[in-house]
Amino acid sequence: MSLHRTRFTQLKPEDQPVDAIDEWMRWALMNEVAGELPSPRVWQNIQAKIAAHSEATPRPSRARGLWRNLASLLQTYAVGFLAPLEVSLDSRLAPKERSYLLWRENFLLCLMPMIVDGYLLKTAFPH
Amino acid sequence: MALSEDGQLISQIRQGNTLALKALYEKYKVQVYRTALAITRNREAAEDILQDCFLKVYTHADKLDGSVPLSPWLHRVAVNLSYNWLNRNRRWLQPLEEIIDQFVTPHRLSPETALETRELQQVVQDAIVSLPFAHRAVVVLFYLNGFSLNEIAYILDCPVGTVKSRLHYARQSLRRKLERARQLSPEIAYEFA
Repeated sequence: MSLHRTRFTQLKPEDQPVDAIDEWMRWALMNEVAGELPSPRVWQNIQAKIAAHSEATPRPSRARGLWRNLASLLQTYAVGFLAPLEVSLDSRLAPKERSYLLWRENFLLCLMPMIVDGYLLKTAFPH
Repeated sequence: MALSEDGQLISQIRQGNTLALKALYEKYKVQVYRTALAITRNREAAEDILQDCFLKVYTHADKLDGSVPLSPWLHRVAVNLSYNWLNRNRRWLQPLEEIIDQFVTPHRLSPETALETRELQQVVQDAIVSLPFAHRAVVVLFYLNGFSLNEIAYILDCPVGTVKSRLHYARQSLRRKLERARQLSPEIAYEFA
């Protein structure tokens, strides 16, 4: 009580308590929470959450994710480059068939990397 | 700048010392819990708010200013969490008519002084609860915790003038409600004389 009375004296005249309302408010609030204490499980919960927070595995950094995506991109290019080479070296194919397959592989070689690049870049830079 | 007692504990928490956190928890748990309880009027909510407050101390230890007491910052977090809880639950909006009805209900009126006191306490508490959140928070921080106007301004992140006007409004509002209750129930008229 004395603490509050001291604080009231620090207020300007217009903020000074003018009647018993201040006493009523303080009395009602203090009675409402008097004797109320938090249960011990609150601290136990805090400890458990801190332990879980410390043990959580760190997420891979953005840089590591980017390198992984770039590696996938290079792999895609490598496969795309080697596929027509394999076709051109296959001597069992007839010239007409080889020509068709090379055309198809070249077309895919141009188109597919564009699709894959777009997808991978979007994954690496979502925003 | 020299570190306060809280500041020394905070610097230990930054190094992962949970004993320092426990010391801060023991120091402030009752104050923060009762503030949250007075605002939310719900024990479970108050315990959750207390828990979240100290988890924030642990996770935000790097950002805390160790040269000032922790209490205003803790109460700022507690008030914000209470506001979020009230927004989710909307339990604090109790119509005044309902409060008056409670007060004038025949079974609540009794010649016993003890019962009258309890009824009166209930009327005042309900009148405080019926205040808008911003005013209720000021009332709780000022009357229950004894914070200064400047401290309340920091906790609520508003100018000191706003705190004063909210306090004035809360007093006026409570006075009107108590006057109305007195008219409805002359038996306690002497209590306010």
